[in-house]
Amino acid sequence: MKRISYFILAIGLALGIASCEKMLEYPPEGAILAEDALKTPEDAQRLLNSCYDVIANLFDGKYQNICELMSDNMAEPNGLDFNAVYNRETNFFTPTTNGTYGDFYYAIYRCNSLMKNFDLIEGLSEDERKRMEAEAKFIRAFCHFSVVKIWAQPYGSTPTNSHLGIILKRDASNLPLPRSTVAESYAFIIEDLEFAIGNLPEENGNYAKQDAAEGLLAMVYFQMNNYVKADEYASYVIDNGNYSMRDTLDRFPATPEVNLETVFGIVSSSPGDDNIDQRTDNFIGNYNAGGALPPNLMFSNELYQFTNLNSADDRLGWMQLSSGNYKNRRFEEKVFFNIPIIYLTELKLIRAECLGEMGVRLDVAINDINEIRDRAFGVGLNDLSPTATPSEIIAAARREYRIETMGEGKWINQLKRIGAKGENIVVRNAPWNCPGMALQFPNSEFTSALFVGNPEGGCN
Amino acid sequence: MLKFYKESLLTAFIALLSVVSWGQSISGVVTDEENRPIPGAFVLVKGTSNGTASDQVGNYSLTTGAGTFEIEVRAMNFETMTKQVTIPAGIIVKQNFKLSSGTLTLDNVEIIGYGVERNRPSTGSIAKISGKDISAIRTPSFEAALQGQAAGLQVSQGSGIAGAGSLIRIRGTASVSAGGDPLYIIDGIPMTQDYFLRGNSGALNNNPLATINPNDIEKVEVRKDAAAAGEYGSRAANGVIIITTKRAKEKGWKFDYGLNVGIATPASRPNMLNTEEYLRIRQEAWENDGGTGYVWLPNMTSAADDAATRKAAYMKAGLTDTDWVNETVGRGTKYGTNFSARYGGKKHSVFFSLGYDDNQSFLKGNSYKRISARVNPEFRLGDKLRLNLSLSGTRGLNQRVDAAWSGGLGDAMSNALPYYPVYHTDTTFNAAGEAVNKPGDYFYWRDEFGNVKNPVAYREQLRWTTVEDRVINTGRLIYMPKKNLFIVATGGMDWMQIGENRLTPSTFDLSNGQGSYSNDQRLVRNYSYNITAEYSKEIKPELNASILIGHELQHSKTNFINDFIPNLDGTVAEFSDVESNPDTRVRTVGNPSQFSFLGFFAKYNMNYKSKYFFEASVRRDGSSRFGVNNKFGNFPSASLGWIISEEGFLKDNKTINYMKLRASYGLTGNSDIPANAQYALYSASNNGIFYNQNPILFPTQAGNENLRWETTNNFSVALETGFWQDRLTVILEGYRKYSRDVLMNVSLPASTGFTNFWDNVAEVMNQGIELTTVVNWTESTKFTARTSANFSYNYNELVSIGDYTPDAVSGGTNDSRVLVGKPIGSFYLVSFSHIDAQSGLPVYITPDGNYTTDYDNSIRNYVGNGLPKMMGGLTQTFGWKNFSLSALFTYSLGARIFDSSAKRQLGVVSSWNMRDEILDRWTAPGDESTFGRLTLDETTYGLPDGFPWWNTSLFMYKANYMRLRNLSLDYTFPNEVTKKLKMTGLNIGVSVTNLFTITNFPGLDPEVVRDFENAQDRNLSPNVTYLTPMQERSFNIRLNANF
Repeated sequence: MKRISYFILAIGLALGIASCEKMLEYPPEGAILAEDALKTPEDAQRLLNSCYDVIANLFDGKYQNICELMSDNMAEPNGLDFNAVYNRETNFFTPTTNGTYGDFYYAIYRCNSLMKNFDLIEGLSEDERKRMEAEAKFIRAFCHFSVVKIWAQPYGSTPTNSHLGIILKRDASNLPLPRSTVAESYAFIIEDLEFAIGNLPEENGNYAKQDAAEGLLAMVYFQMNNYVKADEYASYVIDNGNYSMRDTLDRFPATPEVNLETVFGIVSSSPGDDNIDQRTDNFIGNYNAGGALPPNLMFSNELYQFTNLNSADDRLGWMQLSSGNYKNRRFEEKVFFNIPIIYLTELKLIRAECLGEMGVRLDVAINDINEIRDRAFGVGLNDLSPTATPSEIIAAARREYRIETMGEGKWINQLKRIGAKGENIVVRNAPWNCPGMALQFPNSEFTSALFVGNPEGGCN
Repeated sequence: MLKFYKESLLTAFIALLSVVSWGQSISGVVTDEENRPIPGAFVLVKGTSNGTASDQVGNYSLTTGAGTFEIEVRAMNFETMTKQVTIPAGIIVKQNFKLSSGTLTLDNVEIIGYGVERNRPSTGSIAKISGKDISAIRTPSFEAALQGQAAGLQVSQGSGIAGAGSLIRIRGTASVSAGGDPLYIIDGIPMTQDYFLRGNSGALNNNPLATINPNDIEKVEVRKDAAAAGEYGSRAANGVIIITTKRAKEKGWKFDYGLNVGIATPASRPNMLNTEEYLRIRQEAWENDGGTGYVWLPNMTSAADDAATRKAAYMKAGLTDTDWVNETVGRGTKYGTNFSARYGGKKHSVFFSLGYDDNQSFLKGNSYKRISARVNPEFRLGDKLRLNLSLSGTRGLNQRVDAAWSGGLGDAMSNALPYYPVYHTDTTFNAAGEAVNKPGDYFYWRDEFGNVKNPVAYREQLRWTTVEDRVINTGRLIYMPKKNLFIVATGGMDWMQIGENRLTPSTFDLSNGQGSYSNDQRLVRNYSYNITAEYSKEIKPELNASILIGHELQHSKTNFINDFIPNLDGTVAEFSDVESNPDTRVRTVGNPSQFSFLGFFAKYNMNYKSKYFFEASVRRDGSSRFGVNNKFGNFPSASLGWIISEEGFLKDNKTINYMKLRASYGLTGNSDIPANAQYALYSASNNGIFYNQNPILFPTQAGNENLRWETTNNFSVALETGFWQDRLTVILEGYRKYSRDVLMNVSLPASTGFTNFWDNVAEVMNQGIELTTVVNWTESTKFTARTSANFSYNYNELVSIGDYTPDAVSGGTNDSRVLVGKPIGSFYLVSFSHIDAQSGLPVYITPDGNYTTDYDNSIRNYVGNGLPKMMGGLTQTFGWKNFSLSALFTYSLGARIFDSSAKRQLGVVSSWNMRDEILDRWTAPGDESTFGRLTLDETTYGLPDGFPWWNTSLFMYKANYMRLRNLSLDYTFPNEVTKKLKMTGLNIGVSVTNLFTITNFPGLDPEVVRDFENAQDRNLSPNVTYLTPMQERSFNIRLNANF
C-alpha cells in the first residue's frame, strides 16, 4: 500500500511538471509573432505602407487589364486567363482573376489589422491614430469599390440594389462571411470615405490625403449615377486649386515626376533611389511585344475607328496598327513610371457628364471638356460649342472619357453604369449585365457554405 | 477400408521421409504456459553450438545425430529450460517445450514499447512480423514487405521507382490534413518520419524508411487498438509500428552472410500509340473539327500553316517512329550483400552488421544504393545494470531520374510524341544559314507549357543525386534495484541529412545556353528520451499486478540550406566541374523548423490466475504544435482479457484448445502537423520589398491559438481461438474508431486575407472487422503445409466538416475533396454518363440527374473513392525435406482509381501521345463506343476553351486486384553438408515479386501511390495516378550462410 502511495505521488509530480510549458514553446525563427509585430508608431506606419504596397502591385496593370478586357476596347487577347475574361467565361479556377481578387482582401485585412491593434501601439498620438485610421479606411473603401465594380452586377441594375454585392470585411477576422447586397456594399464604402474625408490630412506626400478621399467619393457617386453628390465631391477637388491640367497627353511619363493632375496614384522609384522599384510590370509586360511575338493585349479595331472619327486627334498616336489590331503605345519603351489612379482629367469628365445630366452649370461642363480637347487637338481646334445641349455635353464627356482612359481599365464601369441607368448598352454583342460581365469568385470563396457565387457564362 | 488406406499412405509417407532424412533429429513446438507459441526461442544442444530458433508458430527442428543430449531452450521473458532427450538412430523425436514465465532477470527481460514485455497483459491487438519474413521479400524499402502480412494493415507500394515509399494505413484513415501514417518507433525512440522533407521533388517523395537495412530487423510489431497502442497516447491515432533491431542472444560467436542478386523489370507497360496510329487519330480529330488537308502537328506546324506546309510535315513525321517507353524503361539489376557477426559472452554481447545494397529500378538510369553499418552491443554492468546500445549509420544514394509529371517515363506517356526522334538525323539550319543541329545531336521539343523536353537527353545529361545520411543511435539502461522492479531509461538521436544535387547542363536552355547547379540540404536532428519505472508483484496468490510510470521528451529541429549557381556555361557538365569552378554559389539559409513533445504516463495492469487480465493507462501529453491553452491533452485507455479456455467448461475440450476474449477502449491522438501553424505571424520588409522608399510590415499567417489535439475514440473487441492444438487458429476482431477535432488545413476564402489555416474541424469514423487464420495442415516436420490468411473490412466515413464545403480541403493537385457522408479520399468530378451514339459527344449527369453536354465545375459530384473496403493477404507455405515454397497473395477490393493522366491520354487530342484504348472511339452516327468523337478542340466536349483537363468519372475505374506478391523457393542444406563446410547453416533461394496480377483495371497498375504534395494529399488522394510509374517485378536469387 505504501508503495502504491509512492506511485500515486510520483504520478502527481509527473503531472505537475506538465505545467512547464516552456519546453513546448518554439516560436518560429525568421518571422514575427503577431503580438510582437505592432509596438511602435513606426511599426504601425510600416503596416499601413504594406497596404499601399498591395495596391501598387494590383495597379501595375494587373487590375486595369482585367477591367479593360471586359470592355469593348480590346482585341481578343493571347493567354488562357485573359481569354476567359475577354470571353466572359471566368470560372473559379481562373488564376488571374482569383489572384487579383485575393490581393484586394490582403490589403483590406492589413488595414483592419492596423485598426484593430491601435491599442497595442505605445506612443501613438491621437492625431496620428486618426490619420492612420483615415488612410486605412480610404484603402479599405478603395479596395471594396474596386471589387464591387467587376465582381458584382452594377449599382442600379435592380431597383433597390438588393442584388448580391461582395463580401464586406469590417474587421480583422478570418471568419467566412456571406456576400452583402450591392446597396450595403456602396453604403459601407461611402461610410469609410466620409470618415477618411473628415480625418485625412490636406497634404500627405504620395499617400492618401483628403482630396483623394473626395475624388474617390465622387467616382463612387458617379458609379451610382448620383450626379449631385458626384459633382459636389468632384468640384471640391477640381476647384481647390491644388491640381492643374498637364499640358502633354502622356499621363505615364517615362521618368517618375510630379504630375500636377494626380490626386492619388501609385509611385515607382527609379534608378538613383535607394530602392529601385517599378510598379508597372503588368502594363509593360502585356502591352509591349515580347521579341517576335505579338503583345498579349492589343486595342481593338473598333476602338481605333472610334478614336479616328476625328483624325486630328493626337491620341491616335497612342495606337499603332499591328497585324489587324492596335498596339498600345502608352507604355512603350518605359520601365519606371507612376500610375495616376485619381486625377484631374477624369474628375473633370465626371463633373461635365453630371452637369449635363442635371442640365445645370453647362458652361462649367463645356469648359471642362474643352480643356481636354484643347490638349488633344490643339487649343480651340475641336472645341465643344458654348451653346452645346446637355445631351451633346454628355456625349462629348463619354467620348473623351473613353479615349482619355484607354488601357486604364476605367471604361467598362462607365458602360455598366450607363447600362444600369437604363440605356441600351451592348458590349461586344453582349448585354452590359449578362452573367459573365460579373467575374466569377475564386474557388476558395466556395469553401464556405455561406457563399453564393455568380452565375457563369451565358453572354455569348 | 478407407482408414486402412489412410494408414498405409501415412506409413508409406513416413517411411519415405525416414529414408530421405539425413539423420536423427528432434522437433516440436515451443510454447508458453498458455500454450501460445513462442517464436524466436533458441533450442540448442547444451554445450555445443548446434542450435536453431523456433519459427513464427513456435515450430523448431534440430538435427542432432543419435544419442542422449541435454537440450536447452531459451527465450526472452522466459525461464531457460533444460531437458534430457534420447534420440535413437533413424528416428525423429518429437519433443515440445513449455516454458515457464518464472522470474524475470536482467538477462531475460525484454523491453518493447515502454514496458517489460512480459508484464504486458495479452489484451491488445498486436501483429508481429519477423525480420526474416521482411527480408525474404525483395522490395524497394522494408515496409513494403509488410503488405498482406497482417489484418488491418494497408500497405500500398508507391511505384517501381528506386527508393519509393509505401502508403501505410492501420485500420483506415482517421486524419484529413495531419499525417495519417502510423507512429514509427525504432529501438524505443520515435523516428523521423517526414515524407515531405524534400517536398515533391521530381515526382518522388522522400521515403524516411528507405535507409533501414531490412537484414538488421529482428521483428516488427504492428499495434492497432487502444490496448496495444494506447501507451503511445497522443500519437497513436493511426497505430504504431515498433521496429526492434537484432541483438546477440546465443553464447559464442556466430556469423551470417547473405547475398542477393536479381533483376528488376516493370510489372506492366503503358500502351502508347505509335506514329502511324497517332497521326491517324490526329487526322481524324482534325477532320471531325472541320479541318481540311493534313492536320497540323505539334512542334512542326501550326493550324495557321498552309496546306502544303502541313502536308510536308505530316509526311516527314511519318518517317520516324520512336517508342519512348522503350527509351525510358529497361531492366535493372539488383545486388545486395550483408554480413553480420554476433558474439554472446558471459557479461557482454554484440551484434554487428555491414550491408550493401544496389537496387536498380527498371527506369533507365535510376538506382538506390544503401550502405549501412550497425553495432548493437550490450553490457552487463554489475548485478543490477544492463546497457543496450543500438548504433547505426547509413548512406542512401539515390541516382535520380525524372518520373511522372516531372519527365522521363512520364514524358514517354505524355508529351513525347512517337514522331519525335531521339536524335537529329540530318543537319538543320537557321535563317542565317548556320547549322543549328547535326546528325546525332539530341532532338528537343517543347511541351505545352514551353518546357524543353527529351527524356533521353535529360537522363544522359542531367546530373541528379539525392544523398541521404542517417545516424540512429539509441541506448537503453535497464536498472533492476530489486526483484521485479525495473527502471528503464531510453534515449536516442536520429540524425537525417538529405542533400539533393542537381546540375542542369547549359544544353537544356535553348535560348540562352545557360546551365545551373543546385545543392539543397535538409538536416533533421531528432532527440528523445523516456524513463520508466515498473514494478510487478504477486498481491495475492495467483493475482499479479504491475504498475509503470514514465516520462518522455522529444525535440526535433530541421535546418534548410540551399546553394545555387546560376549561369553555368557549357564547360560545366559534371559535379566535379562545379567543384573546380570558382565559387559563385548563392547560399540561402532557410528558417529552421522545430517541434517538441512532452509526455507523462502511468500504466497499471493485473492478471488473475493467468486467466483474467486488466490494464489501464493514462497519458498526459503536450505538443509544441498547439495553441497556448491547448498544448496538453489527456489520453486514457483500458482493456480486458479473458482466457475462456482456462475455465472448467472448456478446459479439456478436444476441439478448442484455446479461446480468449479481449476488449479495449481508449483515447488516442494525432499532432502530426507542420510546426508553427498555431501562430499568427508577421513578416517585415525582406528581399528589398519597399513601397515609396519606406519599409513595410505585414501579416503572413492567420494562426489559430485554439489549435488542439485530434483525438480518436478507439474501441476494439476480439476473440482468439485455437483448434486441435492450434492446428487452426482464428482471430476475429472488430473495431470502431471515432475521431473528433480532426485537423484540417482549411482553404480560407480569399476574402479573409489569407489562403489557409489549421483548425480542428472534422469528425471521421472508421469501423471494421478483421479475420486472421493460420492453418497447419500437417503434423509432420518433414512435410509441412501452412496457410496463413488475413482479411480486413473497413468502413470509412467523414462524418462532419463543420460549416465548410467539399472544396475547403482538396488533395493537392488532385481531384479529391472532403465530402460529408463519404469516405476520406472521395473523387469529386463531373459525372460522365455515356457517349451519345448520334453525335459522338460526351454526355454528363448533373447532381439532380439531368443530362447535359456542358462540362461545368458546378456539376461536380461525388463519384467514388480510393479507399479499399476489403483487403488482405494469403501466405501459403510448403516445406518438404529441406525445401520450402512460399507464395504470398495480396488483394484489395472496393477501391476506385482515378486515372488522372487518362483525361489527357484518352481525352481531347492534343500534344500528348495517347493510349491505344482510344482506338475504341466514335466514328459515325450509331456507333457504340467507349470514347467520343475525336477532336482537337476542348469545347467539343463542353470544356472551356484552352482547358483540356477533362476531370470526369469516365477515367475512374474499379481497382480490385489480387496479385502474387511474392513467390519463393528455398533450399536449406542438410547439417551433414554444412558441417563439412564448417557452417551451421546454408540456404539458397529464388524468388519473384509481382509475378502476376488479376485485375480489370485498364490502366498501368491497380496498386498505385502517386507522388504527393503534402500529408493531406497523401490522406485524400490514395489511388490517384498521374503518369505514375508501374510496379516492379523482380527475379531474385539469394544465399545465406551461417557460421
